[in-house]
Amino acid sequence: MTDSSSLAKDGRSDAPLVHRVDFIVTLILYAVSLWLFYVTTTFDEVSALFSTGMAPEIYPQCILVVIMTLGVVIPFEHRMVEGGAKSLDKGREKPLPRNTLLTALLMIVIASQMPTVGALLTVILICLLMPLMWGERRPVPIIAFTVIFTLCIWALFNYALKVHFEPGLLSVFLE
Amino acid sequence: MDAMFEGLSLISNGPAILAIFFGVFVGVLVGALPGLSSPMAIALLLPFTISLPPASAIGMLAALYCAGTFGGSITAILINAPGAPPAAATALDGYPMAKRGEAGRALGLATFSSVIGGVISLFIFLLAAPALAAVALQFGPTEYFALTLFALSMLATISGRSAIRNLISGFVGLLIGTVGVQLVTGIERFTFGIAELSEGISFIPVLIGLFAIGELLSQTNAANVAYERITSVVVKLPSKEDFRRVIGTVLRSSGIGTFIGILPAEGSTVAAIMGYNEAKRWSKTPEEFGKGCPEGIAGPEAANNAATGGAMVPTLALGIPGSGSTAVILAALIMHGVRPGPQLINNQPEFMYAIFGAMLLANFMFLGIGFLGAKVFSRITMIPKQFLWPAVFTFSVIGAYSFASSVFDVWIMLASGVVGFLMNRHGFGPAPLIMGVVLGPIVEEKLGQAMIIMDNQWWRMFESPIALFFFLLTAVSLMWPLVRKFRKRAAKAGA
Repeated sequence: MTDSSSLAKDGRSDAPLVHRVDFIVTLILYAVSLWLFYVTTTFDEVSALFSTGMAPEIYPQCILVVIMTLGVVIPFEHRMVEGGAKSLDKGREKPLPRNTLLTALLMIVIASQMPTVGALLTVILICLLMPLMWGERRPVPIIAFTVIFTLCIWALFNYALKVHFEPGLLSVFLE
Repeated sequence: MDAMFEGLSLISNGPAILAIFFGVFVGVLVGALPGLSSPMAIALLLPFTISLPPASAIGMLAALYCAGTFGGSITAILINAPGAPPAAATALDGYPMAKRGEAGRALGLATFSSVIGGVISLFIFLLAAPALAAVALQFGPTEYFALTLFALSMLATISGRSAIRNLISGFVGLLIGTVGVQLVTGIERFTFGIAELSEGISFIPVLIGLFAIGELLSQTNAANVAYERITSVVVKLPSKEDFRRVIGTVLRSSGIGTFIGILPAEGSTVAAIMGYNEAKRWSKTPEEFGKGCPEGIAGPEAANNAATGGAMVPTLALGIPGSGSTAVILAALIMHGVRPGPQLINNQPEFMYAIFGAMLLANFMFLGIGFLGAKVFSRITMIPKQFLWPAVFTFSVIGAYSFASSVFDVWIMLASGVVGFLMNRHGFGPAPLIMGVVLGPIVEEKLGQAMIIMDNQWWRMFESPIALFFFLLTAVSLMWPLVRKFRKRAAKAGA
């Protein structure tokens, strides 16, 4: 009953048994799940007074077992789904672009500086640095965007939504 | 009747109407912008609604949800770039009609059909939600657990690359929900000695991270696209002839959309595609489809907007969201201290009427926006991504931070965003994960209660006929992708 023509058409019949990238994904999934399973065994014991129902580790353990059971299929899924590996690999054919990694890094750096520089300066940093990173080189639009957007954000949150921003480094000037 | 008046009075004051208008405006804006989505906008606005009264806050978010679905049709018709996936089917006939110089007619048809679809579905919501809640009142913890399990199993059918990955994503969401001190026993789980994790992971930074940061990272390498724009736009009400031609399609698609919306894990996109296909199937001139046929615009638009009202039925009556957007609305309800489910409909019916009123008002508001502001909203796509996404990131950071004035929440948001982006890259979608995060605590609570009642003998759960019915449905829904595949193969082999 197998439709061999459609299997051949999307390359499923010629595909290797195990999908390399998905095999790595499964390994990571298993490593994290097994580690978390181990963590559940280290949960404190419930005192007799509260031990009427399910033990606190049972529910997460059940979830982890389900995840690992389902995970078994992943490396072989390219032979099962319609469209084969092509359909599963859509969007991940190429390695992660440099710009994506740099943007993620920039976001982490900005967030780590937030307690020191304060929320308002964080907004200014985002408005200045992110357009630059994303290829904008014209200074006037960047500065205009930074000034107008920061003022709008400040007015909106300070007056309309009554959200207090920690001044951070700006406190020197505000004092 | 008193509850209805009380509910409507909650949203008929100046600030509430303003909040709903703001929701509609942001919704149309976000819907029109390719890349931005309603769940993302709802997640971003969520922390800022904390100072609003619950009815206004939820009304605003519900209005955004409706308007976001409609907003996509503007860019679908004028520039052939659907701002949101549910509008993809609208572009098939909307853009060809606009190209032959009838952009105003196409937008008028889309707006009219959306409003009719939305209004019909809201009246069905008004009838169906209390009926469903009355049935759900008979449910004990066992039945509720079985129902939630069924909702989770429907993740297998949610749109995405693979059913298995959707399910794994949903279970990862459930796992995230276990972090923190377990209320019944006081035992810390997965806190790793971090004090901030004792209270669990707040779902607001997780929502913002998954929907906003994840999408931002996937947009880093997308190029700015210059769209061919239809400029001469004067939106017109459908003529008598058009009205007669599409009204049957609109009514049929409204029914289809509402039904699809009520089903867990199905959403506006599926409704729109079905609305389009059915419009074509019932049409006397199917050969005109794809060339600017009025029914090709009316069908998907009525269906995708009707799905929004339908999706609110299980969300409010059972506390089970059917999509990413309704999962975020459910999170908003919980954040505002409202526990959705049968008790809400029976004990606080005014709240349901307030949401109904807000969504009804939203439909009429975007009727105005559709007729007056379509041209302006189509220009919004001209905002370069170099400025659009930094603005989204700013709102994400401030949103995550301002909810509890905690930098830790910003870290949670970033971690969720990066992990969500990587998961999405490998086919593990964010919508099932969010549904898992929101449903997680409910599943555990009901399972815990059921186990106490059953004296830890789990097999006794099958003694309840309602629970058994939902367990069977769960099995069927898990097997459905396999059954569908074999049926397809059999049909192909037979042909």
